[in-house]
This record gives sequence, structure tokens and C-alpha cells, in this order.
Amino acid sequence: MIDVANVSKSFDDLEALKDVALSVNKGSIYGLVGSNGAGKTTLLKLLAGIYRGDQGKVEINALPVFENIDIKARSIFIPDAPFYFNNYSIENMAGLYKRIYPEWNNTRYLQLKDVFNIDPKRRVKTLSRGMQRQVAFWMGFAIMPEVMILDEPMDGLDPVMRQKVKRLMVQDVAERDMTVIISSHNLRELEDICDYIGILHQGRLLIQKDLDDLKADVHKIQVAFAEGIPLNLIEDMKALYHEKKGSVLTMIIRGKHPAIIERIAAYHPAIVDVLPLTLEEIFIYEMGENDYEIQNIFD
Amino acid sequence: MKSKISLIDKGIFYHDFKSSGWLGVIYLLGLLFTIPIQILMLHSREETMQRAYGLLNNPYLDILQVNSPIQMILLVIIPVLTGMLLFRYLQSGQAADMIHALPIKRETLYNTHITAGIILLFIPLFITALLSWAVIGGLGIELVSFHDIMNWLGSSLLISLLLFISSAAVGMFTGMSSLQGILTYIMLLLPVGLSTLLLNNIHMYVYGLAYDYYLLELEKSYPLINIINFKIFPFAGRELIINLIIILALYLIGRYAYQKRQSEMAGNAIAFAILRPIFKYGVAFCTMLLLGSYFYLAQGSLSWTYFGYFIGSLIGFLLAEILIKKSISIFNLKLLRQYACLVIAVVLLISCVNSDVIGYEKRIPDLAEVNTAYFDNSFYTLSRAKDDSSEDMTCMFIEDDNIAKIYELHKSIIDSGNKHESFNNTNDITYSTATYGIAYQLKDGSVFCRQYRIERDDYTAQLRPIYESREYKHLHNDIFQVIPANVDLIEIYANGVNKKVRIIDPPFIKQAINVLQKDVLLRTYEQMTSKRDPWAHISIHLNDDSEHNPNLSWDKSDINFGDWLKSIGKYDNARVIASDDIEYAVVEKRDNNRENSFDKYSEYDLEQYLKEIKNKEMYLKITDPEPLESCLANYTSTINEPGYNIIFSLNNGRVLRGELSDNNAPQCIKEYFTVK
Repeated sequence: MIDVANVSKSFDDLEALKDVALSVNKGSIYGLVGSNGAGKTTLLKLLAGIYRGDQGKVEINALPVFENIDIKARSIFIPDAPFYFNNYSIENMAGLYKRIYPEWNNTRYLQLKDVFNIDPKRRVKTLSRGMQRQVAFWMGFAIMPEVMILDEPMDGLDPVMRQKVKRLMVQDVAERDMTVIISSHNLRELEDICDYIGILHQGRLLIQKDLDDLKADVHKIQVAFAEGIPLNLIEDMKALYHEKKGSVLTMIIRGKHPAIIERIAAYHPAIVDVLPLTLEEIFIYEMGENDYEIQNIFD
Repeated sequence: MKSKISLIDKGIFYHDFKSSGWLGVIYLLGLLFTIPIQILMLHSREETMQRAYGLLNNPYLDILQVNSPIQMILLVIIPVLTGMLLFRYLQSGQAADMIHALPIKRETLYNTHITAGIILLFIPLFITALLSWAVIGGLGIELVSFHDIMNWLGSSLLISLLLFISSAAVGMFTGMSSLQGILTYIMLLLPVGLSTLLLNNIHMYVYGLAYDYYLLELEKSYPLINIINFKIFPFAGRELIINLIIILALYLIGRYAYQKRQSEMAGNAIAFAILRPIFKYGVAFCTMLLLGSYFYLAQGSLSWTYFGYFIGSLIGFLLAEILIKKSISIFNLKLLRQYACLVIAVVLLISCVNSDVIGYEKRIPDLAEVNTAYFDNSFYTLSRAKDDSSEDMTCMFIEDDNIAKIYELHKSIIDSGNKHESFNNTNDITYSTATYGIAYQLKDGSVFCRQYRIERDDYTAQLRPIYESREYKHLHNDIFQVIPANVDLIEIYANGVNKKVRIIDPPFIKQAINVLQKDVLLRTYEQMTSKRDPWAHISIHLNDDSEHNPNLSWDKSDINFGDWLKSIGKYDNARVIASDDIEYAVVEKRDNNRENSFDKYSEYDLEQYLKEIKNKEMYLKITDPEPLESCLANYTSTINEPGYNIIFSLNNGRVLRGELSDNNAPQCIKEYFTVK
């Protein structure tokens, strides 16, 4: 669906993206995580057809996005601070989008009025920041997009509204096979809705993972031995991380669950316990010694 | 999915009107106030108007000729503002992102805004024209024709279109709205402005540069000047096509630039990185030329000019850098190196121009190649000659003999060596300084032009044969074009006094013209260059439809005309006569080393002056008609040799003032001041 390969983008002297590759399957929700200045917005604006990359391909449905009105007609970009024209009411905005987006669904627009519960006659510029963002979602859902490109979309929304928006999004993904790429500086915010996670750092995509695979692949194992920890166990298990507390050893190990247990069993441990791993921990261990700044995304 | 590529996008088109329509409304209101309402106002006070203007002037046409500053401001400002407003979103990051995320091609966006802008600007103009037409028809004003209104409409449409398209195109190259407006006007004026600046500056270094000729040609050939002057329809054809081509080119350039422009350039002074050095060095070069010319004109010295170059280039260079970097902390070693490169390039350029690498100063075509030669104090008649509309004689010599004399003069000016440093200086003008334009029409059809300011006294030997040639006199004196049968009336207005002679009898007219021609042919070089005021001005009224009535003068050297006037008994009425008109004259010794009190007084303060010199008792009062006559015949407007200041007090209360050289002063003056 979305295909990005060796894309670079510079602004004057600043290299915002360096050789980024990324792919998002149709009907999935892709979470793009990174600290401020990591290049998330630049990447999303490339996907929205706003920026032209210096090199590499940015494709949706195997077609370049830039200046492709067919693709852009079926996708919506919601920036971190949506822009509205002076003197435009919500109705005016709807009128503008109706003229521009061929798939505009007026019934849906009217239905969503109940969800967002803002008077359509109000001038958008007079609304609060959070409400302006709701209007952006309102318009975004009404154009019936195939692709939603969302830049830090939950900022400024209250928890109730966050849930409503997430539900609407997940509904569209389930019913219409919509694809979503969503950025955040906070991994936890995306944990509950994303199928994929990509981590962008200093213009490079460090890692890109299917969350289900990830969870099935990494395990936190606690073992205890009656007569001390065998010397070559840690090396043998290729532990990503280990911690000894007396005779108890905690390891993070990559691999299939049964195979790991089987191999540990060979050392005759007194106790073997498999503990749940948070998404946060998975990424920390996956990235290992990588930059310490990345820790930010878990705060 | 079907692919839909359209010329304009309906949604954006609608949006443009919603957000920028107010500008069109202001435009319409402004135009209505300056035209139809002005016509109504004028009509309601027509009686007073007609008394004031008489029948010659047509006040209604003034309204339609953009003489009103408000109308000019509207026409010049609103189209550029429209361009700024419609493309405003490009200059603000969030708005540009929002628009560019929409499923609309950039080309479509550009075309949509251009179309919206044209409609916004054109509708008010059409409504104004229509309403003006209705008002004029309704009031039955016959002074304005439908053609006049169409002329106004056509010119206004063209100006609006040109300015709007320019503004749009410039907007694609900058990321700041304010700069878009400024750069639009700069771009429109740049061809003329930069050429003028370059001419001004090259003029300082190159002796003989045909400066005025190039300026006149420039002014004629730049299309914008003609539309601003509202001369479009008289010229129609060529001018219109040139303007339309310029508009089309600007449209295409703007469209191409929009497609290439990066959305993130909003906020940057120059939207294309590749243009930034060009902008920076270009601004530095222009400010350099500007301040250089300013100091040269103000101070007249080359050292001040170099100072101007330095300051100008530095200011321009730093300002451009500040604009590009959007910061005032720009100073670093790299910038210093770049500026040093500019300085070296400019020094090289100036030394090239100064040392005349291309041999401009020494070049002169082969005499055998010259077809005709132009020789006059300016290039005005040469430049006008091509317009056909000119009624003045073009001073083009065709007699080989005279061409050779001009060529001889030209050669001796070149051979005299490069004197431009002193002579281009405006502060060095003396009574004998004169500017000459020389142009040769060569056999291959090209024109070779040079212009010199020389001290006439240095070239008397070369100038005399030219001035005294029959051809020169024919070309410089209207009297030779006058056919006596076409003359209704000759009027002779005496200088200084309210006396007039009218000659109506055809035989007398014929005689007068003959005598005047004879006198002109008899004039010597010295008489032609003397600064003596003429006895009288002569106005010849022709009976054909031509509005061009020859104006000439009865010079003090024209003895025959004076004799002829005596013979018909009109002499005393044609000039100031000492015994009749002059009460007395006051003479003061002129000291060229000291500031002359005389020079301090304007013509109207002379009473004060008289009072002052009377107090000093350094003056001679003359009342005797005989020396007065001699003084009248010999006083000049300026001399640069020792002599006297003289003021004639006339019986009618007016005064004549001038100077007398030692040689020409009557004996009584010389004696009086020798004794003193």
C-alpha cells in the first residue's frame, strides 16, 4: 500500500531524512515514533504529497504520491496544527472539501456532527485548539479516505475524545480497509491501536516491526538454579539483556517460546518463569545500546 | 479511479472569491469614485469649468487619462495586491501545506488563482466603463466619445493584467509577501532603471558616450512607459503585441516556477537556492551603481563616486544577505571572502571600462562610409525623427562638404585626448561649455552616435565653418521652412517692453521673410554663440492646419531686418528704445574674484540691490540715451571676463539686467570706473 524506499530530504543545510525505507500494508495502522526533530513530520508530508523528496520513492498503491491527484483525493493529511482560513465556519470548510474531494460523503459529515458535537456555524478560528483538531478529524472522516496520514493527532484532545477518534479510526480500518499512518513522540499512546511500529531517529528509520511478531518473538525469562547459574548459559541463550539477583537470573531472549523453554530446560533450572513484556521494554531491548536519547519516546 | 485534470479547480476558485473578493469591491468603489462620479461632479459645475478651461481643454478627457493620482494609485497598487493576496498561502508554511495536501495539481492551482485574479480585476473595470458610458450618455456629454472610454478601458485592462501577472510570477520566486510586492515593482522598473544606472556610471568613465541618445531610445522602446502614459491605443498594434507577449511569458515563467517550487520555501526571501547568489550580487551591484551615481551627481568627483560604490555595494550586499538568512548575525569569514570577490570583480570592471578596452572613445567610422551626419546640441530631434509625428527639423547634414566639417570637428575632439574627468563635472560649466551630439548614418544602415561636452572656445576653428554653413543655418532656423503664401500674420514682440508689431499685408510678409532669411545667412559664428538677448521675438502664424507656428528672434546682429522695419516705419515699436523706454541704467564694476552682490538678487529684489550699491557709492547712473543705446545693443546675459553689471530701469517699471564686457562698454563707463 504505502511504499517508501531510500528517501532523503534536506532543508538547506539540514538533512531531515536520510535513506528512509518504510512499508505499510493495506488495512493496517502504522505508528511512527520518534522524538522531536526526528523527521516524522517531514516523512508524513512527503507521504501527503506536500514535499518533494530529494531522492528515493514515495508511493501509494505503487504510484508516486507527488502531484498525483487521484491518490491525494483518497488520502487525508491532518497536521499537528491544522490550518483554517480566516472567516471560514465548519460549514464553509465542509463546502470547500465537498467541492474538492470527489468521495465526500455528506451523510457521514452530518452523522459525525453528533460525535464531535460542535455547532457547524461556528468560525473554526474561534474554536479552541482541541476543537480545531476535532474539526480536522471530522472533515478527514467525511472525505472517506483510503489513507489517513496523521501527525501527532491526539495532542490536545481530551481522553474521551481520544477514545472516540480512535474508535472511529479502527472502525474505518475494519470496515473499509483504510490504512493509517500515525506519528507520535510517545510510544505508549500508539500501543493499543497500532499493528506496526517504526522508530525514526535523527532522520533514520531505526527499526520497523509488526507488533504481534514482536510480542511473540521476545520473551522475558526468569530462571533460578539450585547450585548457581551455569557459566555458559547467558552466552548460549544469546540473551539481549540479563540481570542477576542472587541465584535468580532474568534474561530477555529472542526466539520462539517453546524452543527457548526447551533449551533452558537442558540446564536443569529449579524454576522457569515467563514474564509479560511491555512494548516499551521490547523496544529498549531491541535497540540495545542504541542512542540513549531514544528513551524519550517511552516517557 | 479516473484521472481528472482540469484547468481550474472549482473549490479553490470559489475560495479565492470568498477570501479575496473584498479587494475587487474596493477596486470597484475606488474606480467609481474616480471616474463616473467625477464625471457627474464635473457636469454639475460645468459652467464654472467651461469658463476656466475655455474651449481648448476637455476636462472630461482628463478624468479618463489617469491624471488623477487616486486612479493611478488604484491601477498600480490593486493588481499587485491581488497577486499578493491570492498567492498569500504560498508564503505561510501552514497554509501552503494545507493547500498542497489537497488533491489539486500545482498547475491547476496556479491557473485557478490567475483566472480568479483576472476576473477580480477585470469586472470592476468593465462595470466602471459601462457606468461611465451610461453617465456620459445619460447626461449627453458630447466631449467624450465611446472610443475614449474604450481607450481608457483597454489601457486599464492591460495595466491591471500586466501588473497582476508580474506580481504572481514574482511571488513564485519569493517566500515573503512584502518582498513579492517590492520585487514586482523593482522587476518592472529594472530594465529601464538598471540601464539608466549603467549609462550614468559608464558615462563617468567613457568620453563621448552618446548618453542622451541611449536614454531617449530606452524611454521610447520600453513598453511599460507607454501604457503608464495611456498611449496604448494610439500605438495599438506593435505595443499591444509586445505587452501581450511579455504577459504570456511572465505567466509561463510563473507557472513553471510554481511547479518547481518547494512548498517548504514559505518564509524565505528567495524561494530557489540557485537564485540566492544572483539576488545577493545583483542587489549589491544595483545599490552600488545607485549610490555611485548619487554621489557623482551631488559632488561631481570620482573619489566621492568610489565612496558611493563602496558604501552602496556593502549596504546592498549585507541587506541581501540579511534577507536571505533572515537574521542579522551574518558576519563570518565566508561572507567577507564573497564581498572581496565582488570588490575585485568591480575594480576589474571599472578599470576595463575606464581604459576603454573596446576602443569606444577613439573609434570613428571611415568618412567614406558616412551617408549623412547629425549635428546638434542634443539628440532630441534625431530620436524624434523616427516617430514621424515630430514637426521639428532633424539636424541631419547631407552635403558632403559639411559632413566633412563635422567629421573634422569630431576627429579633433578625439585627438584632443581624454578630457572627460574635468568636463563631465557639472561644476565646471562655463559660458563656453556646450554639449554636442554627433551621429553618422552609415552606408550599411547603422547609426554611430557620440556625445561630447566641450569648451567651445577650444574648437572655434572647427565649429565656425559648420555654424556658418548654409546647411546648418537652414537646419537650425525655422524661417527657411516658411512659405510666405502660407503666412497669415507675423507678430514681433519687443523684448522687455510691451510693444508689438503686426505684419498682415502679404507683400510685407514676403519682404519680412526674405529679410529675415538674409540676416540669418549673414550671421557669423560669434554672433550665433553670443549671449546677447534678441531685440524681439517673432511669431509666425501659418494658415494651414498645422499647430506648429515657427518661433524665431530678431537678433541684435540682424541689421537688415532693423533697416527693413525702419523702412516701413515700425522700428520703434519692435524693440526697446533707450530714449522712449529707459529711465536710467545703473552700472557696477564686476569683480570676478569677489562674490558679486548683483548675483545675490533675483529679478524681483532689484530695488533692494539698487539701494545697496547706492549706499556703497560704487555705481554709475546713466540717463543719456546715446550710451544707453550702446549698452542695450551690447549687454549679454553672462560673460566670464572682467566687465560690468548693468541694470536698466524701464519706464514701465520693469528692469532688464545683464553684463557688459570691457570691450563692449561705452567710453563713459570705462572712464568713470578708471577714475575711480
